[in-house]
Amino acid sequence: MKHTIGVIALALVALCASATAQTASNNDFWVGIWHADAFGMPTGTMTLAADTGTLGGTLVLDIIQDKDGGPHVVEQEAHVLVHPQVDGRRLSFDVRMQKRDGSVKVASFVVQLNSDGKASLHCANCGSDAPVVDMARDPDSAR
Amino acid sequence: MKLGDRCLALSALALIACAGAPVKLQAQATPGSAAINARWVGVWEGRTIDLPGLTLTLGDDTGDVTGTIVDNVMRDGVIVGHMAHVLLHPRVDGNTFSFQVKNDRNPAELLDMSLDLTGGSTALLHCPKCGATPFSMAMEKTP
Repeated sequence: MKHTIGVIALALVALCASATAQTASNNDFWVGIWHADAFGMPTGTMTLAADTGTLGGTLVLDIIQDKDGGPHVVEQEAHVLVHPQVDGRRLSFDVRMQKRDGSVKVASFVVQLNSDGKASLHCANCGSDAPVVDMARDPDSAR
Repeated sequence: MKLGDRCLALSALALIACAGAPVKLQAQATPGSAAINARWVGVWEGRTIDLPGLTLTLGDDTGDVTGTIVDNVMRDGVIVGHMAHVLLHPRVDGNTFSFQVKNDRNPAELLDMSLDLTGGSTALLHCPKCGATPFSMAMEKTP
């Protein structure tokens, strides 16, 4: 009986260790600094980390103005990722947006990992014409 | 996307996010806290020898100020890597925003850090135990 309990306990420990390792491994694909570009211009930066064991981070949206003969980032909107969830090669999260009229809307984003260091970002509740934006992870930021 | 001379062009990400449908979040900022948080929300950069040393990105999408910090690893005056961390135990107390960051060299240790406002878009970042001597860095909020 003691032997059986010991085996079950060992199996549970192994299962827990496996689950933890799996989470760490999944997060490794994501942790780092991701730059979004569209039409040759910077459009945002996503910073992801997993200090608590689960993925979290920020998203900065660049606001671009054409001046002095070319586009320039004139403002940055910083957001914390709300309810980030990793499901295999898919990361989803919400961002709380304050519009110019003061009203608040929440955009639900999905990031699909295409290959190591490459991904595409899409807003899932922004309408059928919402663009898909390419993202690339800064190779110097990967763990 | 073609930029007009007088047109303020939001980034593709901001545009698609602005069209998002409202979704209720668990925590909602009150008008008072939103005004207080606005002093902190944004991208803060600290520079060493005219090179970016630290980037602190703060948002309040959950109702509380939190975010990420990126430590630029430098060698011989050149940035050779970036370490991204989620802020742990963030807290606003008057003109001070304090938080903890996991130590890269010893993940079991949490480093106490604080950001003291010195102006509308300037602050001083303190980390008493980041090195052999207490560390401070002037920070500036990007436009």
